[in-house]
Amino acid sequence: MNRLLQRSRHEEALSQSDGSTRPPSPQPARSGRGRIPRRFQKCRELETIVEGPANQKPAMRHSLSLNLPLVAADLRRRRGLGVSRVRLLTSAATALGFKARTAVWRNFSSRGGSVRASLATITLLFLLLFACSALADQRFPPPDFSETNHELPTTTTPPVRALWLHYLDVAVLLGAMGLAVWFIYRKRSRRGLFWLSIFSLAYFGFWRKGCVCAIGAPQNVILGLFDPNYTVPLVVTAFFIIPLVFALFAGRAFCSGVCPHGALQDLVLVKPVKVPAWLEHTLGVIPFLFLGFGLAFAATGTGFPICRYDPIVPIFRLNGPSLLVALAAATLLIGMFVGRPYCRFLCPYGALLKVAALASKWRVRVTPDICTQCQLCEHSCPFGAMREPTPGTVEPKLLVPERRRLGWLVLLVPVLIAGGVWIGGQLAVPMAKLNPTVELAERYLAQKTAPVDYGVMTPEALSLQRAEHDPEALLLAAANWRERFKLACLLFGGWVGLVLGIKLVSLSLRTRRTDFEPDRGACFACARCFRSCPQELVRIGQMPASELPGTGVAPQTAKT
Amino acid sequence: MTENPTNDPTSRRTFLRNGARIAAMTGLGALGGVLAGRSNADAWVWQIDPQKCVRCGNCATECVLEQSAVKCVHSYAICGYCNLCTGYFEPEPNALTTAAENQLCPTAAIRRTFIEDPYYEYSIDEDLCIGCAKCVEGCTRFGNGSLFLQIRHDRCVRCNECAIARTCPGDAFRRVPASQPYLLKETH
Repeated sequence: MNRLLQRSRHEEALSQSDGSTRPPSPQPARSGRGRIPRRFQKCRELETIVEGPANQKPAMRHSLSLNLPLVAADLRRRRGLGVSRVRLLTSAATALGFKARTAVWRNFSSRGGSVRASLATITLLFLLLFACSALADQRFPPPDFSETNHELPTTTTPPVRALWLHYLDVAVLLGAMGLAVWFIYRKRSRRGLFWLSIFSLAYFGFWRKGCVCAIGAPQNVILGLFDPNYTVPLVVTAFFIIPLVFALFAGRAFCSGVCPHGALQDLVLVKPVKVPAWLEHTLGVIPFLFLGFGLAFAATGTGFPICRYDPIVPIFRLNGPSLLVALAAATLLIGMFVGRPYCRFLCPYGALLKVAALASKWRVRVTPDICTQCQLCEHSCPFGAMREPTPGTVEPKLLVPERRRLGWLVLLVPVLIAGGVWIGGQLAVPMAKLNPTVELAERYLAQKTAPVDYGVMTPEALSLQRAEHDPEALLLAAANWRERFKLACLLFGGWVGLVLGIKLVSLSLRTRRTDFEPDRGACFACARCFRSCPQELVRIGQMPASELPGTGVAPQTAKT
Repeated sequence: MTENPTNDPTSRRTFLRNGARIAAMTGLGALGGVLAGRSNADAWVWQIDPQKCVRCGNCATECVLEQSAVKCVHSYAICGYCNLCTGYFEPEPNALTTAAENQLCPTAAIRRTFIEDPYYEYSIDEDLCIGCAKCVEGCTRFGNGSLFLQIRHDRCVRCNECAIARTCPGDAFRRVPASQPYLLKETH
């Protein structure tokens, strides 16, 4: 004790004491402890010091416990505490506080993993509480620096982004949407859309780092509807509604030049390959399922998977978990050969826009003039959205089996929905484990029957301690979450059935087209097809009318 | 799509489309109304409740940023300015010096400055701090608890769903209004 006191009081005292070096603390036997992450090794060392080596009797060996006289000296120096009071306090602390704290610490990190709260410890804890109240709020009264008049620094609090900047985001969104519509329908300019998308990529992508974005907004909206405690910020509501309203009138103008995700993928597109129709249709279902999945998760307070597993945002942040960065790299790599893979086969907001665009007032046309069906635009679309004219007449014999098939498929839709609901109901309980509260409650109950050693100070062990604090509240909350999960899983199952059913029905519907035209839902309004049309080139005066198809001149200016 | 100009100017498809659009607009309007009624202009940000923090170390590793947006901050007003700071020094330090082997902080992000005998001031270098909470553990368990973790809003990218909040064993993360974005400690 004396030795340590001398050493720690002053640095010169250290050199006077029994030597400048100290034998290293013996390491305890590490068997039977389970795996402990590296970041907790410091805690392990602390625990070793408190407990002493495994082969010795546990002893109070933390430096603080050993340095009580030092603490007393420290306290005595602080103004406002007379020597007698300090003595009283330190003796009280010696008798109760530090022993109790060490006991708690030792119990807390005891070998069995469970807390052995002995009666003595509890008594000591209570006494410690009294001692603490006697010591006012702080264990070590803050000094008032009578000698140096030292001014206390203030804790810095870097401000949150100012509110007006968020409204600026909405204004920029509105402006960009308006510009996009103007470029698509009035200017019919691929170049304008290209520069607009570069701006959006810079502003919404790299400057705003992908947040706030419309793609994740449906989750906030659904959580706002389901959870009365969660209020959706107005900015997020605006980002959710504005692109949808535009889509109802002008198609997917948001995708064409405003969404940074689309802009980035548009930029890396080098050599688009045509995705086979069957694959396009199959993968095209995923956005709808992902939308349902994201909404179900958000509504049950389990997380926002659309944001969490976004494969583009790590690029905007130039930062992120390695798995997601790898996913982002893969998306861009695929995006070099498959046009906009994220937009077409994953984006859940794109699914919403697709449905809205089906009802749009105006539509993107390859040419506002008469289509001569020259087929030059057919391969200009890198996203597989160009639809060719259907044959004018239909063989009447073929109509009957087609109608019959359509009838069966329409009947199949409710069956699929019912099946989805049933499967969803079966999955409700296992899926609920994804909710952190439910997971903790289940682990807490499992711990009661078959204890698992989670190690010392691991997040798992710490969360279990929280559970033991108030098990009833936790179990009640978990039961509530599970109820909500049940509803969400039933709805999600039904949604999956509905999506698959509608997809099957839509494949059997016969649409009549007389011209080449972009599909309303699938078209991103990128304006690539405009300049592939000779009529368009004649209209804007880039080609004499005498060179219209038939003369063998194929315009090459599909890309900017 | 066929729009037959010789027949009725409104084809069946156009009629259906118009109906769907009006219905969708009404729905979006209603949704916007409900949300606007419930929402407030103030945005929400994530923050750590220091009283609930269990110092597990997840903040250093779970953040979506490579260098976590969670940093240790210091409430100087409740700091004891101890010479033997349990947030700064290793347990049983060789000496009470700033030598690296004595420091608890893995990145030496805490600066120790002599003020007057026997008081030392401790401040955090946020560029070095990784939010591992080792100092917070030492200070809270044995000291005044003036060191604690906070999300720094100049670094936080405000994920919709905070990746740390999801795994926080103490359930210490919560959304707070952006007008009061910090939960600073004023007592132990």
